[in-house]
Amino acid sequence: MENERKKMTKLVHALLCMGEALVSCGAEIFRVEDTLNRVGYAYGASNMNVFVITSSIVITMEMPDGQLMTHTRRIRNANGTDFTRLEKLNELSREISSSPLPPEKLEERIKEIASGSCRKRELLAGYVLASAFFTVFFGGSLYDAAAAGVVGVFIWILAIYLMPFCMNNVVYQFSASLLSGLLICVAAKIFPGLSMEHIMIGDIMLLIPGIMFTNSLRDVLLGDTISGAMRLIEAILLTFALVLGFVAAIWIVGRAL
Amino acid sequence: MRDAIIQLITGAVGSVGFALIFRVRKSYFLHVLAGSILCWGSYLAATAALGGTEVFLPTLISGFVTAIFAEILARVCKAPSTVFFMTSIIPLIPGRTLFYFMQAIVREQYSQASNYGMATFLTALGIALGMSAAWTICDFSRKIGR
Repeated sequence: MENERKKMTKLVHALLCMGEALVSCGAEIFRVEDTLNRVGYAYGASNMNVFVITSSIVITMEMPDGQLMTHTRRIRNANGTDFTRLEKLNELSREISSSPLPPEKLEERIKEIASGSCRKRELLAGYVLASAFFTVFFGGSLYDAAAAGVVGVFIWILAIYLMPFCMNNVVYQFSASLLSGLLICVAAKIFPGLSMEHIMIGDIMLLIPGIMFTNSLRDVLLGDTISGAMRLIEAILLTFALVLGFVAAIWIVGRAL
Repeated sequence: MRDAIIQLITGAVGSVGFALIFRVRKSYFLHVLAGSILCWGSYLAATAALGGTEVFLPTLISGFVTAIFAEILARVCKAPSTVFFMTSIIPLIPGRTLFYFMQAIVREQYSQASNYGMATFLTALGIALGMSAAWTICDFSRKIGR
């Protein structure tokens, strides 16, 4: 009996880790609940109650012999997007639905997936490619694209070195927008051939929380109203911070130079 | 026409840039290219067909087409559809209208600002609604198939 209980605690703990990993790599709330339910039933639960919002997970697992267990987990960071991790977790859940691993093993596997290194170089390549090509996409010249690429490198530096010092995402978003806006405005003043407008549009694409906004509306429309509303408000706040940052940058450079 | 081709190509490469940021598997990069071209192509086609003054409906149509494409790829590749949808939809993200919104605010042209703000919001809403419609249909077809 005591042994059973310990095993169950380990299992529920592993499920919480899995849920947290899923939420923090950009999975839909619907998918997180569905996955945790399926994994729970695969381990022999007679009834699973999973409630997930972007900041918390509650799992109640009921065994056929009447044992009950409820655990909760507070999630602090629900804004990442990491599709390699998402896919690996998805594969893992499929694998254990057909042949359950022992709970210790399961937690090990989840930790292994969740701790995968963030590859800075690929992130840098992504920032430069995205900002430079979207500058041309929105009508900029090749020089504008090159400048936007350089600002992309700057935003990458901010994302890696400034983000950890920021109190929260909104503060980071404001500082990143202000600093890159200043850089773009000053560069456009120094090199009159550059179009401030197009460079800025290209680099806004890196900072705009478009994916978050789409995600939030999708959550609402799929029935997870609370999560959707939380993400929506966060996306709106981030957009405000972005607008404030860039507007302040344009204004400061317009007045000062 | 030349502009459209430039947009299709640069938008697709830019989307691969986002695929790198979101850590999509490298073997899916071709899918992302195709998805992004389909997304922007369907947007351009819908804009042309509807007369080119509206933002909302073309975005809705393009979001729908892209989401169906993502669902199909998801079943073929046995991966979550989000992976394909979120990377393909990037060209539709309203970065440009948001910029004009800000510019209008700085220039104190408030009626223009409200127009661009509205366009930004409608674009985002169009994407989400188009995607949800596609999602609902796919969910139905899955359940009826059983």
